[in-house]
Amino acid sequence: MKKFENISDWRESENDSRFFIDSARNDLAQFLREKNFVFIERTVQATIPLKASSDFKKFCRLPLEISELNERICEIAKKSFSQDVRFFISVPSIFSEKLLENFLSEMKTCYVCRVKNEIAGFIEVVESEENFSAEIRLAAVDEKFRLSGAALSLYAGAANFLREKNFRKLIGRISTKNIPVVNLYATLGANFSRPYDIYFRS
Amino acid sequence: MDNLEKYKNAFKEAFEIGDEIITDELAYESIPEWDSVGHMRLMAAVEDAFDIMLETEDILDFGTFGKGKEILLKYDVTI
Repeated sequence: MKKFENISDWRESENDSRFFIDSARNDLAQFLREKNFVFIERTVQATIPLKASSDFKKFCRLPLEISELNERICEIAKKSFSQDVRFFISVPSIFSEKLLENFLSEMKTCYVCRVKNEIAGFIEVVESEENFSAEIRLAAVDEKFRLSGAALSLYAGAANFLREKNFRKLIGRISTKNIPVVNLYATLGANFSRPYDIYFRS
Repeated sequence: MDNLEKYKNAFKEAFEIGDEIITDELAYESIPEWDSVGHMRLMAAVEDAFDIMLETEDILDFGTFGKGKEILLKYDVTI
């Protein structure tokens, strides 16, 4: 999905069906609405500072292990992201599923946690050593394990591993509609910034 | 403080709610505060209140105030 930054760039972008814009840019929002785009949702960047003083371990009820992409991870992802704006076009379709499959195929490794020996959820983190930061590319927990502490274990566990490697920040981009995830990041001490609004062509 | 008071206090501490909405039917997702993160706050509060360590299966099953009382019997906590 492309960022739309200047009205003067419209000609090169006019065939695209999805954009995100800086939430403060009312001019761009107005322009897109006039072009029959509709507002879908607002996302924000959530940044967890990986301070030495933060006790991430207390949130890690379930141990993490490293895993490569497998069928179970794909199954969890397909159930969790069928209507995620990164993959969802207008209605759930084979195209959305293909977008998700392509995204998943780029996964190298991820962290998983298990409940009763079954993978309950996963988190994929991409490290950027030059910035000492890491980004959460994709994360999900199977709905039947949502009360198990898997989500907190995954995020806190990943934060703990990264801090041990001297990384300073763990960053994610989340929908402001997803209050449980907002609360999860807040529990881990995140601050929120860089709101972007997503628009789809109607 | 008896066990019922301790149990109720765990809910009040985890969710910042009052006595008036605490019934056996109070359930996961029935109030905004009881989401998956709130659930883990509740589990920590219950564990601290009764000095126990809940098993993952019991954490998964702990879906209502009433169900929680049944689960705590396994840990010799009678409410």
